Amino acid sequence: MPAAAAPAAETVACDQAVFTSVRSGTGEGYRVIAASPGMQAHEKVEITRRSPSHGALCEEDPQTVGLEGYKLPTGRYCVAWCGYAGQEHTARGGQRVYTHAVLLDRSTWRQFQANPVAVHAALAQHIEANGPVLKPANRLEKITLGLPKPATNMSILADPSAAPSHAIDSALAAAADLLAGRSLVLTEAFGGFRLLEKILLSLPLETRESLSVSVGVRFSPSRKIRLAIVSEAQGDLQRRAAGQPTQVCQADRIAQDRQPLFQGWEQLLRRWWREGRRQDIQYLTTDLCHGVSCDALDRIAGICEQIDALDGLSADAVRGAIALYERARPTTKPEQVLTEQLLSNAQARLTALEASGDQ
Amino acid sequence: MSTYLNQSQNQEAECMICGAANAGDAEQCVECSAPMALVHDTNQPQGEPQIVTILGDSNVGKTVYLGFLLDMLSQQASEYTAVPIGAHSVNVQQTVISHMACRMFPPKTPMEADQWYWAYYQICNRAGRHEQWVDLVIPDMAGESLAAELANPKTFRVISNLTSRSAGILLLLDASQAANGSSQPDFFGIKMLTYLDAVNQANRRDLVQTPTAIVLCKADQCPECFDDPRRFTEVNLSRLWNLCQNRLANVEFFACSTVGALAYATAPDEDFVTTIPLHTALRGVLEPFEWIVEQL
Amino acid sequence: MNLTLFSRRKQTQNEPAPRRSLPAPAAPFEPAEKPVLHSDPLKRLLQQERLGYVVRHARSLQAHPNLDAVFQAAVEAIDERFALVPEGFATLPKTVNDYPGCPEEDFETEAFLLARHPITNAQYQAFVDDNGYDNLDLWPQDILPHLVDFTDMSGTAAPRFWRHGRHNRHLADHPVVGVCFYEAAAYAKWAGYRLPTNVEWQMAASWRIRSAANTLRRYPWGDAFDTQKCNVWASRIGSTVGVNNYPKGAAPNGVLQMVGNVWEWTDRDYEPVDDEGRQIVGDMLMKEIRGGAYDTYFPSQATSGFRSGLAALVRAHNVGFRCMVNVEPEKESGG
Repeated sequence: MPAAAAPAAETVACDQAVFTSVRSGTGEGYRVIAASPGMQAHEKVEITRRSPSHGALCEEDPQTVGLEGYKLPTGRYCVAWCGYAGQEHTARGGQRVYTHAVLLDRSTWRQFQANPVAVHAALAQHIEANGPVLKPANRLEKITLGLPKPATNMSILADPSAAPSHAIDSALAAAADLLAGRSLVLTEAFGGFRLLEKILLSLPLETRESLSVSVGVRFSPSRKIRLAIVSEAQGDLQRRAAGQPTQVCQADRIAQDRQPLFQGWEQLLRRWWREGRRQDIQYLTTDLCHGVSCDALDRIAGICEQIDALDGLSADAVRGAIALYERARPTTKPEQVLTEQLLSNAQARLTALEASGDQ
Repeated sequence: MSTYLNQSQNQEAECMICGAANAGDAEQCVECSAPMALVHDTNQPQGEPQIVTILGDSNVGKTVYLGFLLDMLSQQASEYTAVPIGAHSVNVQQTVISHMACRMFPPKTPMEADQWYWAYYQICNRAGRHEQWVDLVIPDMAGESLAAELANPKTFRVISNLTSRSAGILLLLDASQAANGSSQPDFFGIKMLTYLDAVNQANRRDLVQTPTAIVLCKADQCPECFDDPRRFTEVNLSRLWNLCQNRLANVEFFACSTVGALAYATAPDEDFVTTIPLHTALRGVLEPFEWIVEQL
Repeated sequence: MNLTLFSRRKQTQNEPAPRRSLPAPAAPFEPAEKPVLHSDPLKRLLQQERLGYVVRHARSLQAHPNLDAVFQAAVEAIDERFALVPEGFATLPKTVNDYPGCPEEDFETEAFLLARHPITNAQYQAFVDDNGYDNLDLWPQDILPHLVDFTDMSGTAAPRFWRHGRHNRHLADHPVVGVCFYEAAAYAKWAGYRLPTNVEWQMAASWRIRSAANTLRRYPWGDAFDTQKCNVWASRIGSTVGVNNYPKGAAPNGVLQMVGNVWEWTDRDYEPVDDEGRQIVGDMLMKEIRGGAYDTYFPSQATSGFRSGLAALVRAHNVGFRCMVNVEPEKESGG
């Protein structure tokens, strides 16, 4: 279950839509039954195409909650809360799947730090307070969501407990596959929301903000989700996904027997996760790494490793590092910023060493 | 089995419905989610199978109709012999028969194309002088997917691909709704035919040549349907009737029912009603299909 | 009455119709001729086969000079047209689905006489010709407003598929269909009979007589389904057949076609519950029907124990009825 949203610092109004199955004078079955006026036709079509319909949630428990997030053709990002809302009106086996979607423009999405779990949590609060929309409505007002404080945007940032190492390895392996352009289905995953946040936090913001994800929704090739986290068993999924451009892995085994794709980047993040440096990870991926391609990530990681290593270096080694990085020609903004940071830290380290008599 | 063989031979395969290239071991097309078994199972000397599409609004009874139709054909119910190709082809009839025998309607068909039933059968007319086998592919689509496609074409490309390649169309409409004065079936019908017109016709002045059977379902609740389906359509689905007269070159009207009596189970604290098919009474299930096959 | 128990009459019993791969083509409609009725009212009663009426009202007909002969003829005709169903049991599931362990109710039935075959078109014609639809005594008060709807295809008061108050003479020996429960009950009352209850019907079909063995039959002829013994979908006839068809499918007492050909109205409301205990209702009052019909697809729905229901006012193409007579007057077994 996703963690509750942190107390809102401010709020934002977003377009919303509801996709579910009701019977009314104008139609019957799964469709967009209500939408705010700002929703465009293309967006409605995409929501219809991607939203889960009958039997599409992984679990049958009435309290089951799922998530979907994907970019719309108009450039906005859609985050959907998926759950059950009673029995489907035809009562033909199964519950009514209810999808409540909010649409965020780029700036709002960035205010949520491209974290669909945070949006989902805010949306869950709204649904809990107001109940699901089960009557078709010609006009739905915009929904007001509370923006979480950036420092606690990701629930895992606020969580003091250390993540188990296999969870970190799985998240990093998944993040690396996503950076390499692959699509993934992680099976037999419980605690999917936490896993999703870890994966997202390990990705640069720009990768994160256009990534399509789902948690707790059955895999379906027609939904074209790049990262699907499901509790389904591996076997049947493997067969259904055969020949699809999608890799199906058990969530806790994805890191096994594989070569790292971005070795430096993965190593850095693994160390930082284990050291509990979540805020540093957030700074790196969310605030710093803008506009960089994947091949720059290893270089960026290298600079960070060097910064961390300064405290253990002798004066000569520090001088060597300074000389090396003064000659460097960073090709990306993050590398430039980190190089400046490194040089600054190195100079401070050298000064401290010289002052203590270590030449 | 054929999928395994193709995999071992490392053959690529083109989807029968949309033409997309797929890996040899693909279970479903990467583009439209049609089962690749259709392609692998159709490497037969007879050539490509013909597609008969069953269309209808949500909850009109497409799955039940198809399940009973295939089950009846499997038992040589009429002049036709039907042989399923591939185990997947039997799924829809098995689901329908097992549910209806226990007085339950089968589960709702999901909108996701990869969850649809696809039946692939070889059909032969035993009454003809010469045995002629026809391969038929009949998908069971979700009514909501159809409705979404009608509202915004290309929402589900598999539907436009299917309908453009269909050799015959069975358009199922809810006769009981129409008899009760609802215009919903009429509007769905004309939307569907207009869509077919647009998908199939390069020249809008030509009539739609695809054989189209208008099937009035749930006719047990309005038995006058059986007396004269054409007249019933003319009176209760007048917009559709008008469109059929003007745009379809080859159309016929049928009435059909599968259930003899319906009952309802509900409890005071529930906001839904479970519909229970008390017993079966099959009427008019085979005739529309037989007519379509005769037109092929 | 001098009855022959469990007799298997040597009547004109037709062999089952040959199996066809196609449904039988619909018989062309030719109206049955109107018979010339006897001028003697008592003999007319015999001619109309109102046998139960004669027996029940014998005392009120004492003054009639031909009463003894007519009475005797009526008794003999009852003996010929009805068969004794001995005392027995019936267990009815309370739920709509009969599954192992479902709640059930046990009933005992008294002996009664059950018609050997459903009421035919020819038999029902007599009721129509006698203006049965205009005889308000035969109809419940609250049904009277609906009488105007009980018309045939030409608007005459008659079963639904007749024309101008006549049945198709090619179907004279077929069960009358297109009659609602109230029409069936009105005929039964007119003829001096009544409709069996669901329990009585089931007892007659399952032959669960009161004995130490306490056996019952899944079908009237035994436990194995056989398309040579009944007219259901699997028999591939596609329409009703004459009521004397399928002699091999008879119950031990010679009653024919308890299963298949047409569903039969019983005189009981149909009010089961589902597996979760919710009441099952229809659009209107439902009466229980039994036996399956020519278009019943599942053999499991054409057994002696299968219960179904139909709205009492529905005049379906595949529902008929048969009548019964109490061995002891005014005694019925209910479920």
